Amino acid sequence: MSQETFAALRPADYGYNTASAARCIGVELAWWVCILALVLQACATTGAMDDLEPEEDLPAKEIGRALHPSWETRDAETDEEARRAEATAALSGMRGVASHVEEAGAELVFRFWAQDGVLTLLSWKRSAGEAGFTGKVDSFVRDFEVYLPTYVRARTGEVVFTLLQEQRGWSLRSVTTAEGSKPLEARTLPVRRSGVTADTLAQAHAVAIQLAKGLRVPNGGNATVLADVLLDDDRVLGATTARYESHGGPPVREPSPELAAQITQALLPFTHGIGPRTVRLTLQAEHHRAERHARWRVMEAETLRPESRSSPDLVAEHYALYERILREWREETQAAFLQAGVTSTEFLATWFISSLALRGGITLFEAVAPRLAPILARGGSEAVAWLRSFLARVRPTEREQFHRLWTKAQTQGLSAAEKEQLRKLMARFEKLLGTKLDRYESNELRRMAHDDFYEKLHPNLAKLLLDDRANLYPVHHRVPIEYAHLFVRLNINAKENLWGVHKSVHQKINNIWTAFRRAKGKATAEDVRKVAAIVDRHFGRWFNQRYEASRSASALAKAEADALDEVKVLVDLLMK
Amino acid sequence: MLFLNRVDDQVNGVERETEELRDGEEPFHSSVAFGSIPALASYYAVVPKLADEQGRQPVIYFETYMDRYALPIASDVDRFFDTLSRYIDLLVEDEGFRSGGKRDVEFPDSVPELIARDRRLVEMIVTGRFDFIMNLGDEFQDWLARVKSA
Repeated sequence: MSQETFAALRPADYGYNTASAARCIGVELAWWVCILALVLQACATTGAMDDLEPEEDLPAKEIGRALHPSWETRDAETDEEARRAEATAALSGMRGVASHVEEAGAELVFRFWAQDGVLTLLSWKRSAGEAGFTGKVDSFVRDFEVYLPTYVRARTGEVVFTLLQEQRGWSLRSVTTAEGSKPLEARTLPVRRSGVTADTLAQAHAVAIQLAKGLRVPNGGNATVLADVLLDDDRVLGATTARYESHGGPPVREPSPELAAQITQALLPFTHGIGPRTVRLTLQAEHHRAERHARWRVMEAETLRPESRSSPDLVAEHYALYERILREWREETQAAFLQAGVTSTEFLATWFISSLALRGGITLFEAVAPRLAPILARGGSEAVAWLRSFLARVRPTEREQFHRLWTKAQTQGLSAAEKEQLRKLMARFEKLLGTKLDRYESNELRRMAHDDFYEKLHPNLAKLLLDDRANLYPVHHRVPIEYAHLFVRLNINAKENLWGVHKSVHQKINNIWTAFRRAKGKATAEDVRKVAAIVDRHFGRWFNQRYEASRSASALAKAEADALDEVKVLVDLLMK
Repeated sequence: MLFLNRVDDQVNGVERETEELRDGEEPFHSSVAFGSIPALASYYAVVPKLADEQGRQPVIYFETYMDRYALPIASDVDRFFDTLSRYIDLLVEDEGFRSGGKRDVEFPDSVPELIARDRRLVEMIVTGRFDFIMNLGDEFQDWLARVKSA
């Protein structure tokens, strides 16, 4: 560790794209008259540069990790405000712990993970002070709130604050830093909330009371207890005693009533972390014969992390996704967000895949959804993207039901009736897997494809692929949406399945698929792949490229004729 | 949404759209597109060769994806907007639409009875005036029968 004084302030270096360039261009330049809300849509059909394998998983790494989800409502100013709140929350936590330390000379060592101004408490430890009781000292570290943000602002790594209890009050004895890898529970995105919710406070207090109630110390003796407190995000779920040792006879003396408050204050600063974890408390007690109650002290609190069966990269990715969701939940309490958040396919897909990775539950999911489970268990942004496309086919009420039941399954467990509800819901979901998409579902996926293509996957093409009326080129599907039901594991809206093509090119490609329509009833995934390959071969030069009719019209006509010849041969073979 | 093509002194959007869509195949060959669903290959068009003695041209809806069907939806443009406005009345009552999700009424697929209020259109369908352009697959036979029998 190295001693450090002040770190330089770093300017807020990122902002969020709140308006889509593509949409702005469309709105400004298109001179259409909008009459009524029906469906806003992309297009879809064919396209590919490479052959597709049956049932393959197309990588879609951009989705999930690199994207700012549509439900995220951040900007640089908000983040600045949030970093101030982070410092306030950290100080509040330290002050709470310190308020129960009364010996002069006592030290408190707080170990945080700091990242971009975000502070997550990893542990704290109390060391014995000088003999003799000094009573409470109200004065905390002077101007700490001013300096704390500066200490941690540019720091990524551990930051350790050592506080000393002196006669005149608490002082900051040292600030040290250390490198290391980010603990799973550590956050990386600043949150504007500086306090804890009433629920969290109530849960922490209830657990503290339950824990304190069972602690006993021998008459005139002493005791040591290790207690494990289970946390999940900001919820305090319960506590168990991991070890108890006492000396001096049968443990009979009850703790002082103040202990519950002390344990509560010891726990609260840890509730700002994310994911499931355990905080291990070390408590020591002694009983003085002249006193009625045993005197307990929480000496140490440290986060223990669960071992994960998933790969570290996958787990880290999910924590990153999950943190984004959680931040919105923690900060935004407006009904509008809750409504949009719960029913949004993007939110639900991200939340579900992340929670599956963070908390497990795959066994339950396999039991209720045997066909969906292997598709989603692969995890990562691919699974998120796949699920997002899939959920576009599910009614909002069913999405809400899914969200509610799975949350309950993760946090409290399901009753038999609820488990049956989940099983039925998943049966409906699974039935969709091999079912041809109806027109609404197709259009919904086309709309998503169009938005994703120009806003997320290829924002640079939003300025290039504009026709002479400033309309964005249609986005077409390499494997057509009409055949999506033959490719169950394929995310039909994966980047690799989408191409921007001029309307004229698109129409010619659609002519090829129309010619194939004759064999639609007999077509297998393999046949569809063959047509996609024919289309790639003849039209690939215009994928994600500008098309100039004056230069390419005859080449396009030839491409269509050649592709049609090939498809007709294929169709004739299939119809024999 | 329905976008109407711009037509003014500078631009004739109907003409340009029709030129872009022009193709030897139906429904492109015989239709003049006046509107579309933005970013979708879905169009609303009139069919000049089916105009009546007063010059009123019937309206069709078609998509240019692989299923090149065309649905006759009104006997003229005025009747088209009349039908569309009645559809909106249904739509705003639809639970799925109100919750921002999947709706049960879709224009024109799921409202054949509404379209059949246009009796002149029904007569044209029954007498086979649209047969050369409809190209309906099995999935629309029920729709057609419901329009005819409404």
